[in-house]
Amino acid sequence: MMQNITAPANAIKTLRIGLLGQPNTGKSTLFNTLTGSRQHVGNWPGKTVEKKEGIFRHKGKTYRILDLPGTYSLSANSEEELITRQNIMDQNVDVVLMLVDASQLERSMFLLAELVGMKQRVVVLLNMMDVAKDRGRKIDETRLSERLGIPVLPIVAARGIGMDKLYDLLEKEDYRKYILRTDELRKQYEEVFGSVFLELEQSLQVLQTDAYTSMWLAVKLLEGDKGITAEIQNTAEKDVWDNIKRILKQTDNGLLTSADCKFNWLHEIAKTTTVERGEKESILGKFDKAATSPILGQLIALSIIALAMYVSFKIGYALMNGVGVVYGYAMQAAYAGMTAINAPAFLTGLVCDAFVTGVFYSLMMTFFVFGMTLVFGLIEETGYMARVSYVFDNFMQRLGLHGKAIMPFLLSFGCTIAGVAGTRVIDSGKQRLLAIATCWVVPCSAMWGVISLMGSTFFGANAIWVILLLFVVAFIHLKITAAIFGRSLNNKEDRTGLIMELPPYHKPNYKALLREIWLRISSIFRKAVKVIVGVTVVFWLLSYTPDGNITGSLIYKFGTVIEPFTMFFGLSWELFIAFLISAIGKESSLGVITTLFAQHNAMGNVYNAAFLGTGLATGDVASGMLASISIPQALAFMFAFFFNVPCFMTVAATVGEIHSTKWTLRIMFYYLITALLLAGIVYQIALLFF
Amino acid sequence: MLRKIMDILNTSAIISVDGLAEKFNIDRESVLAALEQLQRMGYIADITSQACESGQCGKSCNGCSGCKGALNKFVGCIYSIK
Repeated sequence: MMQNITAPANAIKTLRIGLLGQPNTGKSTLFNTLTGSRQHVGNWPGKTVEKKEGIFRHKGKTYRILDLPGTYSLSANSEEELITRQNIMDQNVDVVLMLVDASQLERSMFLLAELVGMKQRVVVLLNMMDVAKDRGRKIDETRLSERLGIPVLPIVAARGIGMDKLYDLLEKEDYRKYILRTDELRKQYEEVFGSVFLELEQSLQVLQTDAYTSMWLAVKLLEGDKGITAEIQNTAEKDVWDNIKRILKQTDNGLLTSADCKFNWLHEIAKTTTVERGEKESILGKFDKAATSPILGQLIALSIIALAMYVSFKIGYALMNGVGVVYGYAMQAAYAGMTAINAPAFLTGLVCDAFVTGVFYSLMMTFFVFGMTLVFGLIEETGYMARVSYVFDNFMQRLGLHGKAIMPFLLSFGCTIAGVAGTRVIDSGKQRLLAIATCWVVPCSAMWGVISLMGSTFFGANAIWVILLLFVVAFIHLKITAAIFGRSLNNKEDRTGLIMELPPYHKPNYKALLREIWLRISSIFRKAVKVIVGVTVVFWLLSYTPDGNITGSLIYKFGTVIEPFTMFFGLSWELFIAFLISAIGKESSLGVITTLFAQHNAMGNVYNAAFLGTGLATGDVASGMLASISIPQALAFMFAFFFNVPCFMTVAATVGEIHSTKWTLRIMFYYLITALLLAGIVYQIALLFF
Repeated sequence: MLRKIMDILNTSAIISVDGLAEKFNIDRESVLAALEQLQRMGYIADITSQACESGQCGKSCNGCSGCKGALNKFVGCIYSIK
C-alpha cells in the first residue's frame, strides 16, 4: 500500500522536476526527449560538473527540468554526489523522476535506496522495458509500486513510449500524495544494527527537518558520512552529540553494513516483482557444470589442453615442412646469386649460412607459434579458457600460492616479462616474490615456438610426446619450486579469496582472432629475426676459420675443454653453449645451434659448396644435428632448455619488481641448477632405453 | 549478501559467480549486482584490469601479445579484496 500523506496545495506555477538515475539508465535520453531543443548546458556554480536544464510544455503548463548528475549513491564522496544530494536536501526540485533500468532492476535501484528516509516526492520510471522483455524479464510494476510506496511508470525513453502516462501524472500532480516507504528497509536496519540504530534514531528525532527523517540521518551517521556528521556536530546540543558519539562507538564498518541492508531490501523487492522466463538447462549448461567442478573440471581441462597442443603442433609441423622446402630453394638461389657476383667465399658463407638460415629458422619457429595461437585462440574465443583458469586456480591455492597469482601465470603464457609485471596485483611482497619465482616456469609463446622447432628437428612428428612430457614435468617443477620458496615466503594470512566471473560461451569472433594471431606472430617474428640472425652471425664468426675446419676455431677449443664437464648433464659443448645463450632469449639458442652444427658437422653448408665443390645440400643443419646428437642428448638439451632462466629481460624485470638483487640471483641460480640437474637425470634415464 | 561475499573473500576460497549464486540460492544477476556494488564502494577490485594497464611491463601494449592475448579472453573478471 502506498503511504498517503497530506500535501500542501500546489502553489508553484512552474513545476520543478529533478531527473535522477545511476549512470547508463537513460537519463540523458529522457531529458532530450522531454526538452527537445529547449535546454541549456553549463556548469554547476564553482564546479566542473556539467549542469543541464531545460523546459517543456504540456497542455498549457510549463515544467522546468533539471538533469541531476548521474551517481550511484548520495554519500557526498564526489562532486556529482554532493550536487545531487544538496539539491534534494535543499528541496530545489518538487519531484524527482528516478530512472531505473528495467533490464537490470537490482543493479540500477541502489540510488533509490539512498532516498529512503528523505521526504522528497519520487516517481520511478522503469526505463528500457523493451530490453527487459527481450531478456525474458517481466516486471510487475503495480506490485513494485506497492512495495516502494510511490508511483512506478514503465517507459521506453528512446522511443517515447509511456510518455503520456508521465505527462498525465505530472499534470494531475498525483505524486504529491506519496512518499517512499521506509518500513521494510527500516526493518533491515533494526535487524542488523539492533539497538544501536534505534537509539541513534531516537537521539536524532530533534534534528530531523522537512527534507529528511531521523532514520535517514541515523543511517548516514552509521555510514560515517563526513558532511552529515559535521553538520550534526555543529547543530546538536553538546549532550545530544556526546550521546551520539557514544552510540556510534558501538558499531563497526557501518558503511558496508548499511549497504548490505539496502542491497538485501532491493533484492527482496526485485525477487518479488520480477518474473524471469524459465529456461531448461542446456547441454552447454551441463557441460559448464562439469567443466567447473573441482576434479572433473581439471580432467576435462587437461584433456582439452593436451589435444589442443597436439593439433597446434601438427599445424606448425606441416607448415615448418613447407618452409623447409622453400628454405632449400632459397639457399640455392642465395648461393647462385653470390656466386654470380663473384662474392668472396667468406661473404657467401656469412650471407647463406648465417643470414638466410637465421631468417628461415625464425620463420619456422613463428609457424609453430601460429599453430598454437590459432588453436588456443579459438578455445579462448569460445570462453572456455576462463574455466581452465578457474579449475586450476584451486590447484595453485593448494600449492600455497596466492589466488591472485593466477594473473601473472596467465600473462606469462604470452610473455614472462608481462607475468612478472603482472604480480603487482598481489599486495604482499613475499607472495609476489613467490609468484615470480614460480611463474618463470610457465612457457611463453617464444618458448613454444623454439621447443617445437627443436623437438621436431630431433624427433620429427614424435616431438609432441616429448613436449607433453615437458609440460607434465613443469607441473612437478612448479610444485617443488612453490614448496622450496614457499617455506620462507608463504604466509597463510597473506592469502585472500577470489570470485571469478566466467564469461558465457559464445561463437568465436574470427576477425578478432585473426587480428590477435597477426599481432602475436608478427611481433614474435620481428624479435626472432633480430635475435636469431644476430646470434647466428656472431657464432658463425666465432666458429669461422679460413680453411673451413671448425677445429681450428677458438670456440671449438673452448668447447672441447668444457665438454667433459657438460657431458655430465648429457650436453655436448655445442648444446651447452646453446643452453647458456638461451638465458639471454629463447630464440638465441636457435642461432647457436644452426651455426655450430652446420659448421661443425656438415663442415659448413655453403662453405663446402664453395670450396670443396660438394654441392649445396638442403637441411644440413638438421642432418648435422641428427648425425652427432644422440636421443638421450637431445632429450637432455630439451629439458635443460625448457627449465632454464626464461630470458635476460625477465631477470631485469624481476630485479625491477622485487627490488632485490639477492632474491633475483637466488631464483636465477635455482633455475640454472635445476635445469642442468633435470637434464642430467633425463640423460641417465634415456641412456637405459636408447 | 554484501557482507557474506566479503566474508568469503576474507578467506582464501576461490569461487565463481555461478558457484556463489548456487551457494546463496539466488540468481547470477543478483550476485553480479552485489559485486558491482562492492566494487563501486571500493571494497573489491577486478584484478584483471589492474594487471593489464598499458606499459606495466615497461613496454607499449601495441603489438605485445602478452597482456592482450592473455587477458582479453582468458578470464572474464576476477574480483578480490582491494
